[in-house]
Amino acid sequence: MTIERGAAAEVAQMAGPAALPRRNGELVFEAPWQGRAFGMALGVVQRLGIPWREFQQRLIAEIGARPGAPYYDCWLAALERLVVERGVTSLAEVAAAQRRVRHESS
Amino acid sequence: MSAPEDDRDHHHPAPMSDVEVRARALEELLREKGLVDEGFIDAVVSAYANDIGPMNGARVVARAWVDAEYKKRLLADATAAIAELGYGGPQGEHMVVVENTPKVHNVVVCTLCSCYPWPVLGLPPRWYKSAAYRSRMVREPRVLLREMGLDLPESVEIRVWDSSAEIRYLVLPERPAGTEGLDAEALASRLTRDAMIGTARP
Amino acid sequence: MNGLHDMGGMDGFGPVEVEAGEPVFHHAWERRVFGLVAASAARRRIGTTDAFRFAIERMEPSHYLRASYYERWLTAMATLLVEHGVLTRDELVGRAGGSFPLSRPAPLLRIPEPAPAATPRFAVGSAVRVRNEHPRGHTRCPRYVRGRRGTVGRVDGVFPLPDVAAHDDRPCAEPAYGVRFPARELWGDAAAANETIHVDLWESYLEPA
Repeated sequence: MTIERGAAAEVAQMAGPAALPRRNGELVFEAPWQGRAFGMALGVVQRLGIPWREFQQRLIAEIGARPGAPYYDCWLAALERLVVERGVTSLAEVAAAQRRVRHESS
Repeated sequence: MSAPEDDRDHHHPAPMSDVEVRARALEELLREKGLVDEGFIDAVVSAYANDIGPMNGARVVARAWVDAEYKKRLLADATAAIAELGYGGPQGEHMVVVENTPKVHNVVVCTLCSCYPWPVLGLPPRWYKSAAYRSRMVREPRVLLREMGLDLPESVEIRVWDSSAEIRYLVLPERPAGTEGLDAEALASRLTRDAMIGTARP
Repeated sequence: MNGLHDMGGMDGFGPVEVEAGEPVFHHAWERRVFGLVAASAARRRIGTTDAFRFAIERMEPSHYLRASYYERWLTAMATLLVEHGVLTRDELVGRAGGSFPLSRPAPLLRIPEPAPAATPRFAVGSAVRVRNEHPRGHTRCPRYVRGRRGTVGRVDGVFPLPDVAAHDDRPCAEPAYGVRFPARELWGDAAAANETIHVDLWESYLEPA
């Protein structure tokens, strides 16, 4: 699976509060999970064949609803929302997966 | 791109934050359902680092730091040496690399508009295009650099490069002390765009 | 032209403001303007990059200062499209639903007739003086070096002379050079002894010192 070039540009060029955090022009991920969430969103959008703005709108809504929340927390919430609303998964499945991960890591 | 060591090493389990739990859970689910594959995620993260922004320039600099022959080629014919790494294109057809030494510090500006080496540094930041930067860097570089956070001793010679024609400049910063053990990838990730313009040190 | 854009050495602009973590584009419209200028078919209707730069330089000075970088691109693009007959001013104003300031027209120009020169006149180490010329059209010779003495540091090959290429499509390639100037030569004895400013200049801008 490769990244579609046009899509890459669209993601990189988001403006306003939804803009990807950068330092000195470079993308900043403060933890590996953030990079993975970033890649996941791109992958999902591409696989589902939906426009990027479907994710972007949810991202903007999350940022707006949670002022001050870290950017990638909002990103992840937007992605969770997207995959549930699109019927890829359900809230119950997500909760179950989270329980599994917590259990495995303890 | 900055990222700490991957904490998936289960020999040193760290308590996962809620959000990290959610991220992993989601990834597992999506992979189960065939929506993403692991290789894709890795490729995306590194492609973004490569395609957009200064990582191209950082790779050029890091290669020059670890490979003395490459550095010679870079200083002799920067366009060709940069093209060896696959970079080139609009606003980068005629490159010159200027080397910082303990005695000489280089900094780049375009007083007339905002010419900038796109293929190696991406698009210029707003401050580079500002009237304050364009007007002051050729007139009072030491003072302006100090204001921007780079304090150079009076004994260091400063060379200001005004990109008034077709040449585009990239600063080759001095390799920081204590990096002898690092490979080119690790070195590249420490380099900042500002260091390659000349307004900061790596 | 001796426009406001030629800012090297001007005083009064204050500190350089750095925005931490700034995005590539601050607004969606900036991205669209970038795309229009960098990549669209319309871009091919408006002439050379030199003509584009001159259109920015012809902006009304207070508009130039107020405008962000991409607004200057937008203004230049729109101005050139009108001047090339692709759009009319009325169409722009009408579609914008209000004002759409364009750059001022170019004055009547005497385009220089450079002698065709592939062989460089100067070499590394040549002492040169920048001609004290003040063209009304486009030039890439900054005001702050005119009349000043420098030394050729680099011979860069031949490139179209912007003073012609912005206005005319006759062949006009000539050698260009990297020339270095001691800071004191440009700014007087109060400047530091160990600062040099390197400016890239076409052969037409130079004479032997």
